[in-house]
Amino acid sequence: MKSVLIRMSKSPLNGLISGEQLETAMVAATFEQEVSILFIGDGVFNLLPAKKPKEVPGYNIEKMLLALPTFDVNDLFICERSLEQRQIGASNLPKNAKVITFEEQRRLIKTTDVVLSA
Amino acid sequence: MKYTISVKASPQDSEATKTVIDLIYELLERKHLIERVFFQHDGALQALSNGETAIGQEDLLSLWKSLADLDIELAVCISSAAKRGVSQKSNSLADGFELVGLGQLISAIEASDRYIEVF
Repeated sequence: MKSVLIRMSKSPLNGLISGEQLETAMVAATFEQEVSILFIGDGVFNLLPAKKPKEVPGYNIEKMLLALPTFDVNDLFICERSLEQRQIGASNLPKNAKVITFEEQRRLIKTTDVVLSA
Repeated sequence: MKYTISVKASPQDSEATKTVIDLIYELLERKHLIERVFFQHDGALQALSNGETAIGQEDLLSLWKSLADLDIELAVCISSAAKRGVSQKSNSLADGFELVGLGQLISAIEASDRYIEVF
């Protein structure tokens, strides 16, 4: 078993990548790896409630995020600086995700076996 | 050491593509093992057979084919490929590549000492 960090830095409107990364997280968890997810840069937009998800073709990110706990993916982290830069308040974010500093991210990456980025 | 290489760069980014191919040869030269080369996201487009190459453009597909001939496994994420028009059914999967599930990425990572991504 390895610890796998999925680092999501793309906006949900940036093609298929975000959905594909969440899919990767689910498959990794199914294969009994220890999975965590870091939302950073424009990737934090994935956590905001979608106004009209059906109008964006491809994956329904909101539903996929809700499904993560059933795959035993419970460690969700958000980059503090990315939120500040985009003026996103904590009240808009899912309660189960933890806002972390650069220093905490450094430690997270250091203690993880593999980082899958996009 | 055993390596898994993940290619996320599309073939339009020919510099990134050539870098990863050079990297694989360099690793082989130094007697490392390549567990699997995995193509995900826009990297799946590397496996799109395009029929012909424009004049003056490097033939990336033949470079990949040479690696496949060395028994390097070129595994393309079937889900990424399907969404980008690469499939066996439409005859658009280039020689040397095979379509596999995402689980093949995870099992390769688990079996490897190192995991490298190229964008």
